[in-house]
Amino acid sequence: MQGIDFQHAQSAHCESGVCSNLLNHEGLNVSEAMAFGIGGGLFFGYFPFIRMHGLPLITYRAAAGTIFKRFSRMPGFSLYRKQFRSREQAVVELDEALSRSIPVGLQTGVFWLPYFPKDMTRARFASGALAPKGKMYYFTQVPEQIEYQRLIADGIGFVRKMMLGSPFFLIGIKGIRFLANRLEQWPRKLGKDNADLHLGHVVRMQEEIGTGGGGFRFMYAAFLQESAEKLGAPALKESASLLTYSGDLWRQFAVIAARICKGRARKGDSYEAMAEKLRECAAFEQQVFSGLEQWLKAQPQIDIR
Amino acid sequence: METSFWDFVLSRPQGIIRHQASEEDVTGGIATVSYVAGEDGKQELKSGIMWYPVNIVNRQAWDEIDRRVELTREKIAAGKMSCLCYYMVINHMDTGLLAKYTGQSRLVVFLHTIPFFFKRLGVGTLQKYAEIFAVEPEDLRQGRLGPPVYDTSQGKQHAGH
Repeated sequence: MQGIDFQHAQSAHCESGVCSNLLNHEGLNVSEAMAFGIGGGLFFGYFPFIRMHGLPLITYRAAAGTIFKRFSRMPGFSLYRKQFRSREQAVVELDEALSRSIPVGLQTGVFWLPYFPKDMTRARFASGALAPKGKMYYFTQVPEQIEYQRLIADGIGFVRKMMLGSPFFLIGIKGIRFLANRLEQWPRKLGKDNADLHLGHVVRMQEEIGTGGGGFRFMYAAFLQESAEKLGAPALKESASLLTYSGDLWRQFAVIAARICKGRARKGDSYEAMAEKLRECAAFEQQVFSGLEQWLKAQPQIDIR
Repeated sequence: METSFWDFVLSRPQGIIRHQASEEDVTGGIATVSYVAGEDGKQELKSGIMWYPVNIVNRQAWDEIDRRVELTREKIAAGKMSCLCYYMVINHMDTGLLAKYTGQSRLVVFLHTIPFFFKRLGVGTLQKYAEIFAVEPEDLRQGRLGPPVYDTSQGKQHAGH
C-alpha cells in the first residue's frame, strides 16, 4: 500500500477536525472552527433516558455524522458515506480506498482506541448507545471556491433552529433550563454520592478532550469571529464575545462542580447555585442566538430554516 | 513581548484561572488542544492546556471504577458472582453491552454472572468471552482476576490542584 501525503493538523474536536483535514487535503483551506460552524456542530441536549454506564447522556454538540451530512448536502460537495454490517467488508473497503490514496474518515467508539491500530476494527464496531457501526467517509467532489456568505448563514441558521426553535424540551436553551431544574433536585432524589457522580459526568462531557473547552462554546465563538472577518459583519463579532462569556459561565459552573465533587465545597457552593449558573448560561445563549437571528434576517435571500 | 501567566489570567474577562497542567494528566502524554481567548478576546487554538477541574472529575470517574472493582472482587471472593462480572467492570461493560458483543441474549449473560451457571459453561462460550476480554479461556475457568487493561492511577498525582 502506498502512503498518502496527508497533512494532519491536530484539532480539538474529532469530527470537525477530520472534516477540516480532509478538505485541506482536497485543497480547500477550511479551519476546524469554520468546519464546525458551517457544519452546524453546536448543540445542547440532555437525554436522561439514554444511559451510558448508568449516567444520563448530555451532549454539547450535534450527533456524530451531522457535520459530514451537512457538508454532503452543500452545493458542489459530494461525500461517499457508508455504514457496514460486516466487519470483513468494512476492512476490505477501507484498504481499497487507502490503496487508491484516498484519505478516509472513520467513526469509532473511543473506548477501544488506545489499542490503535490493532483493534481499530474493534473500535469501528463498538457496541452500546450510539454505536458507530463502522461508518466511513470521504469526499468524492469538492468545489473550487466555498460560498462563505451562504454556507455560514446556513450553518448559523441550523444551530439557531436547534438552540431556540426546538419544540422539544430536552434540546437547546430549554434543555439547559431543564437540566438546571433537574440538577437542583439531584441531591434529594439520588443521594449525595450519586448526585456528585452525575455532576462530575456533566462536567466531563462539557470539558473533556474534544470539546475545545467550555462545551464547544469557545470553538463556536472562534467560528463566529472568523466569519465576522470573512464577511465583514461586526454583529457576528458581538455574538462571539457573548458566547465566549457564556463559555466562561459554563466553566464557572464546572469549577463549583469540581469543588463539590472533590468534597471541598466553599461557602455558597451548592446545587442551587450551580443551577442558577446554568440558567444564566441559558439566558446568555438565548441572547446570542436571538442576535444571530436578527443578523440572519438582514441577510439577502436566505430562508431561516 | 511575551506576556506572563498572571497577565494572561488577569486579562480574562471573568478572571477564571486557567491552569496549565502537565500533559501527563488523563491523556497519558498525548497532547491536547483547546480554544483559549487571547487578550483581544480572539479565540485561538492552543496546545497542551488541560483545565484543572477536568482532572478532578476524571479522577472521580476512575475512583468510582476502582470502587466498583473492589466491590466486585469482594462479591466474587464470597462466591456471589462469577469472575465474568470482574471482567465486565474493568472493561466498562454491563450485561446488555456484553450480550451485544457476544451475540447472546441479556438474560443468558446475566445467568453467566451467577457462579452456578458460569461453572457449567461450554468451551465455545468461554472462548467468546475470552476473546472479548483479551484473556485466556483457562483464566476464566480458573476464575483468575487479571489486572485491568488500563492504569486506574492515571492522573492521581495531579488531582490535588
